[in-house]
Amino acid sequence: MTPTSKMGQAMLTILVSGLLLGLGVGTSCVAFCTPVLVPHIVADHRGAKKGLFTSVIFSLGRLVAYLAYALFLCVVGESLLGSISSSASPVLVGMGILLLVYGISISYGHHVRPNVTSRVCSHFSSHNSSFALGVLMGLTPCVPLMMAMAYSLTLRELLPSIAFFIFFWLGSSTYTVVLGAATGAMGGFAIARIRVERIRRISGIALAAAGLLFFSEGLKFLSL
Amino acid sequence: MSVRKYGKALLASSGVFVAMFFTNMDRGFTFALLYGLVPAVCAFALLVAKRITPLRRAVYLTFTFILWFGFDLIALHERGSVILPVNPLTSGTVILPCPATIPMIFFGWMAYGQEVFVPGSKAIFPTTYNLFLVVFGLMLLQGILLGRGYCGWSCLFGGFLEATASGRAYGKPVKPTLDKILKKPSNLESQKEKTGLKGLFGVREEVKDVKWGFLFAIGLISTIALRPIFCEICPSRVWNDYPNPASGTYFWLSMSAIVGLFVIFWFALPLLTRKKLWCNAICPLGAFVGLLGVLSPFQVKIDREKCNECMLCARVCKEYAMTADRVAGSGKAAFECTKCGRCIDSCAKGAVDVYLRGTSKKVRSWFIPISLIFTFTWLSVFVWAIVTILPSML
Repeated sequence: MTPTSKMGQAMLTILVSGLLLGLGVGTSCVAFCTPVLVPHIVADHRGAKKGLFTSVIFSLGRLVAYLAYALFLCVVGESLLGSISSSASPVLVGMGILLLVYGISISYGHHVRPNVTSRVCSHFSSHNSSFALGVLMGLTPCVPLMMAMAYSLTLRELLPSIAFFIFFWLGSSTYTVVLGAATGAMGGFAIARIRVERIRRISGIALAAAGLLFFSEGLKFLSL
Repeated sequence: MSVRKYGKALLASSGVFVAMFFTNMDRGFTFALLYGLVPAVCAFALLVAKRITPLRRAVYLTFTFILWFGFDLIALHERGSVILPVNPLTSGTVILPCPATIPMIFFGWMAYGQEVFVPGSKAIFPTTYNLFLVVFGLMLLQGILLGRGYCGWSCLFGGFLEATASGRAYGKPVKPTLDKILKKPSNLESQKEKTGLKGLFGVREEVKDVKWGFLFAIGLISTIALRPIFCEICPSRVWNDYPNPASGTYFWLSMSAIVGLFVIFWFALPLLTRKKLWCNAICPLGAFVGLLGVLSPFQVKIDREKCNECMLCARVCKEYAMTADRVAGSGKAAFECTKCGRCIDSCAKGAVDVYLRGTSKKVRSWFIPISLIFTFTWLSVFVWAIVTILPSML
């Protein structure tokens, strides 16, 4: 076997490993993202197509975060893995605060500050916010991501590491995209029966509750 | 008429006795016999009494006291502490049959076909599949049959709110005036009428939706994170399952939030308003059983021919389920109705009663015995715990 074909085979192994790991632990990824993605889609992106598109944007945000991790892992190495748990706290706290602001704005904001709320809500309902939420969720270390990072550390090179993370993302995003489309479709179904403002309010409360959980988890990590 | 009433009550209470006796047979003949007699007597008394509320409240308060005494006794026996200064999700040594975790169990079960807590956390709820099925099945059955009748008769927290929200608020507007929470009678022309009906239009939709948002979030997070998230805000954490004190700031913030929620929604607001705002607007468990209750055959409603629109039923309703616009409109109690019987007692014309849904057939003599069977079935777990554990601890 020539060195080139050996390299090709090694790369193929990396890509397949990434894809299989993504597919294998993808349900856990979905589990982690669901409390944020589902209310976000139900609140602002109802309909199967819109839900699908939003989940793709959200997933792209996660990809950016994964690529950043791939880069840092190559530059910093194993020490990053050690500091991940300590960096998780600020990300979780930040995510919690963001979700709290988002949730309260779309549920009760217009009762308190109508002018400010309309601006805040327009920002949150844009696709930029889906992307930003994706980045933050991607940066939040979860079990599947830690597994991917541990594997990536064994590669020791930037290019294979990036390729691995891209395929890991592809595998894990499959479920997210399906979930997005299904949630969008259900949101569209609900809108025929429940008023939009009520759906948005309930989703807002759910987002705020998820935010509180993220915030408290972040705080818990910080205190430990 | 009176003989017929007593005969009916006797028949119903015999049914309650038989049900409770056979349910508890595996705990011994004497226990089953004695334990079966209590709900049977209660059912008889409730069916022949002129007013349901005093006796129901006495049963409910006793139920809550015994339930939590038994619950804490189990905790003390199984893990050596009521307060538990370790993470209960990872300790893996506790067996607490807590029905409040049902929404998480339900959604998890729907998604995965089995109880789904992470290893160790399963200990929060039944550790055996049979016990899980019993608790889960009982809760579903009660929800489907009685709807929020669960909240009015056998909620494990209900007795506390029953105590703090009890007392007369009759004939007076709710104090202090909670304009941000209550619906305004804006469509009424006369100022006098507006003042007279103040506080009788129920809670604003924006406030009532909190429970749906919580249920949505709890359902999602618990299903996918495989954690009983409700436990994070469970009011019983004031005397149970503290977070780990070693976690410092988190411990203090968490405890402040839990105690704050408890003081506001379980003491301050019920004492001030004599209403149960927690049950109406916040409780996700109530929302869950209410959802199941869409299928319930029991419905509290007003006989329009007898009603003189005195609004007494709306004034005494602790759940904001019977409101001024419902009395004047459909006559049916709202989704939040816990079938506690206060409106039935208050009506001088006897216009309010429990009806078979969609019909004009009164079914109070079915509703009360069934409610008591469920209440005493829940309680039997804890009474049995007291009977078996307490002597060995003394």
